[in-house]
Amino acid sequence: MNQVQPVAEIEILELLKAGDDKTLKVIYRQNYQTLVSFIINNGGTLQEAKDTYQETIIVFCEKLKQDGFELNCSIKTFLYSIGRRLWLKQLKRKSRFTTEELNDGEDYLPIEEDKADEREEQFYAMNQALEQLGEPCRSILKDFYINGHSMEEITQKFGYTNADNAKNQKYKCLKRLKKSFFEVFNNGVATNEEF
Amino acid sequence: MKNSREIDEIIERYCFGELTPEELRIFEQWLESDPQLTASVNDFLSLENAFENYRERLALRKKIESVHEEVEFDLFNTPTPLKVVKSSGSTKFLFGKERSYLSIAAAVSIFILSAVSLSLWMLGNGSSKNQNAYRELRREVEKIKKNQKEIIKGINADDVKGDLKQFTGTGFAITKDGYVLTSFHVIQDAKQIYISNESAGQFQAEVVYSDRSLDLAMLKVKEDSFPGFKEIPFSIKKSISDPGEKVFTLGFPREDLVFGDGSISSYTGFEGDTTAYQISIPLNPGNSGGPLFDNQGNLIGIISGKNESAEGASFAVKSKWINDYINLKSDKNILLPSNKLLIGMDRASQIKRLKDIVFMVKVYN
Repeated sequence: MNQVQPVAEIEILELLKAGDDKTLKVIYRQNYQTLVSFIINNGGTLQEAKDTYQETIIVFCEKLKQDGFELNCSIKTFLYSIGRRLWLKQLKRKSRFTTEELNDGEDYLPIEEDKADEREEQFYAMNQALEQLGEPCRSILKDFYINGHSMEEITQKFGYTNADNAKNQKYKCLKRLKKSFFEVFNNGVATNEEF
Repeated sequence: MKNSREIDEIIERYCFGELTPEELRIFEQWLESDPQLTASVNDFLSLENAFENYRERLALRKKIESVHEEVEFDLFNTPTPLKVVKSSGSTKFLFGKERSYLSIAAAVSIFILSAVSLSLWMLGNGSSKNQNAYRELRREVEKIKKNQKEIIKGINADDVKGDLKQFTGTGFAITKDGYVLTSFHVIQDAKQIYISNESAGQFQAEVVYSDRSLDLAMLKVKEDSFPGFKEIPFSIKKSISDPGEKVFTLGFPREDLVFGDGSISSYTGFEGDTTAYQISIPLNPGNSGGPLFDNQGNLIGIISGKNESAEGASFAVKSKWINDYINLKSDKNILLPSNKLLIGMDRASQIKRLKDIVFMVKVYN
C-alpha cells in the first residue's frame, strides 16, 4: 500500500534530519494523542504510554538518519507503526501478552528490524541490568563508564580507603553487570538469579 | 599466572587503548593463541558499546522530555470557544452578548449572595453557642517578644506598631499577574500580608476585597518588581460536585507544602451551610485558604475550617460561590482561569504544576 507522500512531509523529514527543534515539537505534539491512547487501550499506564511514545520518537529520528532511508507512508502512520511494535515488544517483556491481537485505532505497516531497534534493545538491557545491580555498584559503574569520572574521583566520592579497593569493587560490579546485561540482551528478559 | 581481575583490567585497558607498546605486543600474541580471550574482549567491546549507547540515549531522552514539557500545555489544553474568536467584528458581537449574559448573571448573583450573606449573618449571631465547634484553620505562629519588637522599631519605626502576632494560612494564584485567593479569616485584621513559596519567593500583598460571610478574600501582589506567576493550569468549576468525588488540597500547615486527599462527604458544610462542602481530608491550622481540586484538577473549593467535635469533618467553600463572587465584583482586571492543563495527568504531575501557584500567606496583625 504505497501512498504518494505529500511534498510537505518530505520537507518536514528534511527539517527533522537537520535536527530542527521546532519541527520536532510539532511532530511530537501532533502524534502524541494517537499513540498514547493506543497504549492505554492496550494495557499500558499513562507513564508507560509516555515513555514508549518518547522512545518511538527517538527510534524514528534514528531511522531518519540512516543511509538510504525512505518513507513510503505518512509520518503519522510510520510513527504509529514504530510505537505499536515497541509496545508489543514491551508487552512481551512483561509477558502479559503473547499474541499480536491489539486494539488498533490506526493503519500500520510491518516494520523491519534494523540498527535502531538493536540500539533500543541495548538501551533497555543496560537499563534493566543497572536497575538490578543496586547500590553502590550502579553509581560506581555509571560514574566510571557513563559519566567518565576517574577512579580517583570515585575512590573519594564513595569513601574507599585507597584506589585499589575502589578498583576491586568496580571489577566485581562490572562482572555482575555483564552477566545480567547479556542475559537480558540475548533472551529479552532477565532470568531470576539462583540462590 | 594472572588472576581473573587482572585479566579483566588488561582487557579494559586494551580496549581503551591504554596499553604500553610492550604490553600491547604481548597481549596481541596472547590473543592469537587464546580464543577464550578474544571472546572476552568482544564481550567487553559490546558492553562498552552499550554504555556509550546508554549515554547517548539518556541525552536524547532528556531532550525529548524537554520537548514534552514545552508542548505539555498544548497537549492538554482544549481552548475555550471564547479564546478562539479573534476578528474584531465577531468579537464585538460575542462580547455584547457575553456582557448582557454577565449582567443578568451578576444581578442574580447579587440577589443570591446578599440573601445568603444575610441568612449566614443571622445564623452566625443566632447560634453563637455552637461556634466553638467550628474551627478556622489559620495558624498562630508566635508572639514576637517586646524586646525584639523594639529592635525592629529602631530600624524601621513606621512599619511595626504595637504587639505583632503572626498567623499563617494558604492562598493560591488565580491570575498570572498577581491575584491570589485565600480565606477571609486568614487575613482578618491584617496589618501586613506576605505570600511566599519555594519557587516564586516572597511578595508583599494587599487585600483587594473580602467577604466575611463567604469567608473569601482576594489579595493582590503589590510589588513593583513582581515578575508574574506561572501559567494558572486549572479552571474554576461552576457546577456543584457530588459526594463521593475524590478531591485533594495543597496547603501550608507547616513551613513546607503538604498534600492531603479525601473525598467530598456532603453537599453542605457546617450546620447545613449551603455555600460549603463537607470533605474528608485531615486538615490542620494553616490549611485555611488552600485550593480544593477534583481528580481532573479543576478548582472546586477553598478550605475554610473543620468541625472540632467530629473527626475528619472539614469544610470548603464551593467554587460556584467563588465564581459568582468574582463575577459580582465585575473587575475587568480579573480574568478567571480557564485552562485544563491538569486533565489526564497523574496526581504527582498535577502537583508539580500546582505547587508553583500555591502560597503560604503570612499575616501580621
